[in-house]
Amino acid sequence: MTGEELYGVWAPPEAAWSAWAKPVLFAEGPTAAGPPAAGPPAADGPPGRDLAPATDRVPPADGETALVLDLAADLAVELGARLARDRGYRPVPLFNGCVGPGQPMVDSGAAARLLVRLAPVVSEANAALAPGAPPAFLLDHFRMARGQQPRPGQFDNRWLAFPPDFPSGPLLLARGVKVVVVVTAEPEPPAEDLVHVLLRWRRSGLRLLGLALSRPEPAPLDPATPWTFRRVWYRALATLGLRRSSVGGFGALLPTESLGGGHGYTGYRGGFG
Amino acid sequence: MADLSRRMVFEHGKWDPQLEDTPALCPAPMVLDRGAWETLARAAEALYAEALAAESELVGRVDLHGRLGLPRAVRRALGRSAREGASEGLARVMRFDFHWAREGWKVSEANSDVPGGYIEASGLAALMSAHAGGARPAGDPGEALAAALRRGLGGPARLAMVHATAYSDDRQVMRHLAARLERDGARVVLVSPAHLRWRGGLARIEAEFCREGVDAIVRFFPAEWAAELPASCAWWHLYAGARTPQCNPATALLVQSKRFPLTWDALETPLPAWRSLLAETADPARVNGGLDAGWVLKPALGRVGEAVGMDGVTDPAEWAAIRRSARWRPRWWAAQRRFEAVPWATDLGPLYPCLGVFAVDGRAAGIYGRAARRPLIDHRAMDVAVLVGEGGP
Repeated sequence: MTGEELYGVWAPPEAAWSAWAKPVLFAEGPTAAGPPAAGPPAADGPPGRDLAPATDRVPPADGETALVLDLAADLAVELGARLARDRGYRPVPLFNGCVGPGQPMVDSGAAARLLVRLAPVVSEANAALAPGAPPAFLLDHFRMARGQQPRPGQFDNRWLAFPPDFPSGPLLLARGVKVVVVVTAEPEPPAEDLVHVLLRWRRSGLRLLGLALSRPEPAPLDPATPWTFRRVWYRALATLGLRRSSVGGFGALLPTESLGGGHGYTGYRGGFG
Repeated sequence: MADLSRRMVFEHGKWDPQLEDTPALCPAPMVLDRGAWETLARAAEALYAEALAAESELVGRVDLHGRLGLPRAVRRALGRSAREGASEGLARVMRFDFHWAREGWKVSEANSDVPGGYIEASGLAALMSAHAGGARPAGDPGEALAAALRRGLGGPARLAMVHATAYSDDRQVMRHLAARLERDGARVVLVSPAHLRWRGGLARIEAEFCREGVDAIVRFFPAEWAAELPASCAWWHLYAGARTPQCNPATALLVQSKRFPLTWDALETPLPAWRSLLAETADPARVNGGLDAGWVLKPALGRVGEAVGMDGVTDPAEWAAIRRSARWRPRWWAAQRRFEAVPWATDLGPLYPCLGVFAVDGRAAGIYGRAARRPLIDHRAMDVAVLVGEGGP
């Protein structure tokens, strides 16, 4: 299966949310991540990991709820496939880091391999999923490599989620979504990059809930407003959290002098010039 | 639209086809008549020649570096350039952003450091041209750059494609260029600048996944970011003393600065094209009458239209914050006289286009088109295929 064919499974053209599916892992080619693990395709997770309870606790896919699965990448992909097959949600992969050579900081290859392995499950589910099926956005909870810094010579493929990576609050509301449920492994505050997305959604009128897989019920989510919220230089400052040692990635601190000593601005990520 | 986006992803390597609620790609091309393209091409070539000459002069004019709004560490590196010689350049590429205004063609800025738009200028234009009644792309800047590198290196070579590896939107550009180079037998490695080591001015890759010398560097990492790299990678070689040639050497930042015009009157290099085409630029601290609606405020090293302040266009709170910052720290800002851009009538409503004309080794090489619903081109602008028709004088 080519990367394009695989993308067509996880982001079918007719699906309402497919435009947001990030193509990086698919475009680099499914083989870039190495061969998929041996064994028949399954959406039940590796031995010892029972995702059925998690699948069952997610609110019904009645069109009023959108999900953000902020989990370890392989868990997000597995749960996304299960939700497509069993609960009627459209998984939308938002993995925006490349696979990278050697032993990079983020194992994007794990997600890429599972996207291949679980493609038959999602392909079968697509037949029953309505084009307007509500979204389950898939993130890699460890996209920032657990706060680690790269080793000298290591490939830095960390990445952040930014508001333009998601549909806006008004668009979600216009399509009938009223609630966003952030699914995490443990009951912890959302990562700061995701907070910027969530707060914008809340300002638009969406209700936020958090569902930890270790807890039985969703609970209201009330993330604290970071001081960088809605600062025009947020995107630049977000990269300041990645220190200078990771200079291949975000770690190149944007020069504070060009930031005007904290009152200035700098370039946006989106290709230069 | 979905089909166009997918073809751009999988045939041309554009990995960012959606931006919040908006597709990144404009569903229709802009067609220039041939005369207009010839005008822009000659103008871009003139701007290129003048920019290169000015950069060369500015390397030795350390007394003027303070006017450019550059970080201290960068200025120290440029000081090295003046003493040790600027790092060697190879296959120079620049992009000039043109706008059609009431007073004719105007340039809002030049991107002489790490210009983007290769994928859109080639792939999007190629896809659109199949449906545009004979109109053709103005050129393929990626192909032109690859050819220039081949000529400069004289044969298959080993190249380090240096970029911010965590940014997939930068990596896609490197992959796009790498494919063209590899097709002609080059060995290409995509790395971070932190993976470079220098000895005697010659660069090597020292990474966990690759250890080898390189014949040239293709840089897509902003020059001013280099100052934040660890000393172990001797980043100043991007500016000074390198014998491994670069596309582009970091001294390109001297002309990249939006405050470059503040050095003109002190330079010997004649700049007639720049003077006639670039909107008037001033130090915000010296604008008589204050920073009123007649001026646009830009960060000296701003990119992709970020943090550009335009009264009546920029969000009022953001405009107020920008004006405040420009008042308090004017040396990090440039004030540019506002011109009245003429909108382009489309089925999507009026759009304000920006035509980024590439020049590679002095020759016009294609156009990266963008268009926005407001007269400010930033990350929210759509990418537009710009084609050249047969009509015109």
